[in-house]
Amino acid sequence: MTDAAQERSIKLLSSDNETFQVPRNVIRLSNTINTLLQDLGLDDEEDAGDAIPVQNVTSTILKKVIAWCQHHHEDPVAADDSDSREKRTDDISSWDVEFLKVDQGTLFELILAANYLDIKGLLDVSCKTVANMIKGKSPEEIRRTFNIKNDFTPEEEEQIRKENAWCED
Amino acid sequence: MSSSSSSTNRAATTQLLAGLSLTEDEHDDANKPLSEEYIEAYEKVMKEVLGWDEHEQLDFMEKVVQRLTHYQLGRVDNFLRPMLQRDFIANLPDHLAEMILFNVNAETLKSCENVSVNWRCALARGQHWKKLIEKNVRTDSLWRGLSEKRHWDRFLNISRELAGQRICEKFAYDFEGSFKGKFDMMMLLHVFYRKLYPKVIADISTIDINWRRGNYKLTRVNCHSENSKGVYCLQYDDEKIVSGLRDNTIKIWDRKDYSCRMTLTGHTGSVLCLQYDNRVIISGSSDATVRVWDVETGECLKTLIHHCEAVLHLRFSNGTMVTCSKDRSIAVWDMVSPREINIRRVLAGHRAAVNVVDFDDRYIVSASGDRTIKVWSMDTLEFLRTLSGHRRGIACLQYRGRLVVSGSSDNTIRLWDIHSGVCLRVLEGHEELVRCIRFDDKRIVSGAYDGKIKVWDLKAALDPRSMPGDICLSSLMQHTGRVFRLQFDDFQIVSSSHDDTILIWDFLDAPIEGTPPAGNARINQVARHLQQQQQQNGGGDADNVNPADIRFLQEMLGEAAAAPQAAAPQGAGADNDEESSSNEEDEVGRFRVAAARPRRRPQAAARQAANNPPVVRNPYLLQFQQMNGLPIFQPQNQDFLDQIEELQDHDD
Repeated sequence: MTDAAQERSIKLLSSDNETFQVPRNVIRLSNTINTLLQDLGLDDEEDAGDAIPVQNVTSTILKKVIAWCQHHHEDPVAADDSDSREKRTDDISSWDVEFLKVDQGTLFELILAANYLDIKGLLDVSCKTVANMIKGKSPEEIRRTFNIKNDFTPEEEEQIRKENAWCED
Repeated sequence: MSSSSSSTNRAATTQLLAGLSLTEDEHDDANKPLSEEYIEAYEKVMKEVLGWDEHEQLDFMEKVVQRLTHYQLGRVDNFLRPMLQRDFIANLPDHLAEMILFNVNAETLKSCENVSVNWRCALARGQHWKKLIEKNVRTDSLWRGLSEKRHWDRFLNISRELAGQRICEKFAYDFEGSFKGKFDMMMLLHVFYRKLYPKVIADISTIDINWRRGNYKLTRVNCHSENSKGVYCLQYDDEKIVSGLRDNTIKIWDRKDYSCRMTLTGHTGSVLCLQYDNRVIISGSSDATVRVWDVETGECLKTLIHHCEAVLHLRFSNGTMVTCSKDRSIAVWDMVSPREINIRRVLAGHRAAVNVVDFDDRYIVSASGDRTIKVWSMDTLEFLRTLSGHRRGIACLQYRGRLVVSGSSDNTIRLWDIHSGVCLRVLEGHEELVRCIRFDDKRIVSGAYDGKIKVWDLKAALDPRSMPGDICLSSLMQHTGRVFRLQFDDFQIVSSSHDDTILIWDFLDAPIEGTPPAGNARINQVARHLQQQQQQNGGGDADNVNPADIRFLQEMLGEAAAAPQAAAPQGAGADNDEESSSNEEDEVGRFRVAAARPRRRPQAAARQAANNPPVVRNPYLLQFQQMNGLPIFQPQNQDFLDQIEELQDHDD
């Protein structure tokens, strides 16, 4: 990819038909878009061309996604850590913590968008954020946090109670 | 705008917002019929509001909300809150729910298990318990060792299909007919690993208690030396123990039955130190030579003649060997091949016999009868510094990470920071020369000339707040002569002595203290629970997939708790343990009596009173700990090692 190609803007079209201009080297954080541009040879074209439709991502969410990429596009590439269990959840940068202080609906959409656009860093950090909302809570606290109905039958509840009793001894 | 119309508007907007609610419980107010005027106005207002852009809508809502009463705000909150919440686990695609759950620990996983049917299924689909166990086995030596010794490693790192097959095999379920390819199999796997996890935790806690209480199963290997009796050095693995004897031989013992598999002869003096890897055994002797042996055939490949007096200790790793001698020198060697070992440098400086050496890629550390520890650069082989403090000669030492632990003829153990040379802690308690010492990241184990082995809590030793009496965990007395050498891991200590025996102290399969055996009680208790549960459920329970749950659990727990040997058809190891323990029946019996005595507390207190605590608060110790936010102990060359000499002249 030439410097000129790095510099130029890419147009993205949200599901609700809003167009966004994103610098090429910012959107490279999305593997999906990056691969698309490379595979279609679009990097070599002079003209910015047609907007790339980003299905399933609304303008509100796409705006946030682009803001995240904008802030992180100069981050050093993290070593590929194949073992996701080894990761810590207390290492979220303060910028990301602020960025992800959103309602659960937005967080939910962000996870889906990060997955669809294949932005590893954003997906990681948003999943960790949800994990942190779960951590250290009792089942009832978790239900309250996410508005989940307890759909176990009384018999199952009893079984759970007993299982836990011997788990803890 | 009149006040009445503004209040109509307000109500209209409230209702408008309420119309968005997903909640079903509509109470008194909500059931009040809506007026004609309202319905007409509502549609108009709604149309207008929807025509605005996002920002304007927000601004409008904010203005409306600000004018609501507390009661109304409460209602808004009631329907707004759930609209903002999401059940991530139930609603995200499987692999994303999995990514989230990968980030939670066991305790939270247990909570997740009991949130809802959906969450439970998500845990089952993602095999989270299995993956958590696999991760622990990968990253924790205790888990890894336990998985092998308890034979549950065969359920890890395999496909679902194979895991299902093995579990069905274990519990005699019909895999092909009942489980293969079915939802039930996923749940069977889930239940299996979920129940395995606390079992492992319980097992680990039992082992820890056994170490702390000095509760062990003892196996005694009698070396039957012909003339001069005593075992100077040893190293072990799962298959064998290699020992160096006073009668000039090296004996290799088979851990299956502790028979002598091989005797290597050649040295013309006591074998004082040895180390082996998967190719060679290298030994040092009071005949002043170092010999290299083929570990498989026992053939002597090479004899190194360099030192002019007894070779007291040696260590080798990564093509470098270091030997030390009663001749006061240290030799550093290049190991090109087992037959080609060339001397690189001789390090001189100690003023008495050099009793022990240890090294890594940064430092060589040596200790001598001259009461000092000396640190040398591995890179330049130059002398760097002296660690002084012991009041008599130093017999033993281990160096790892940045910690050096040494034992001396002054009956103390000292912990040192290798970088600063500062003594971090003095451990008192042994009543004679401390002859051998090892540490890992949890414990220090030391052996002394009075036959006692002591286990110390390393974390406590490094904690400046610990009182001296709280650091020693247990005192083990079974040798009837000087303890010459020991090595240990998470599960056992293997020690050798002047009394011509090698003792294996097994903290994994130690007899259970007290009667009735806790294990049986627990099995019965769980069985009772499950019986009741089955009666209650009587079938139709989606989650209760396991038809023979009782047997399943009994076997699982049974295996964990010193229990029915019939439950372990698959472990050759288990059978062997059984054999060796029967040989040592009297030892076990003797120990039980000992275990019934009041424990160390009174002793510890007395000791504390007698010996004025030498180091209560050591500022360096705190500093050392702080500097060590990084792990102090980089596990390197676990499979090693070393050691010792005859220690005639510890004092110059």
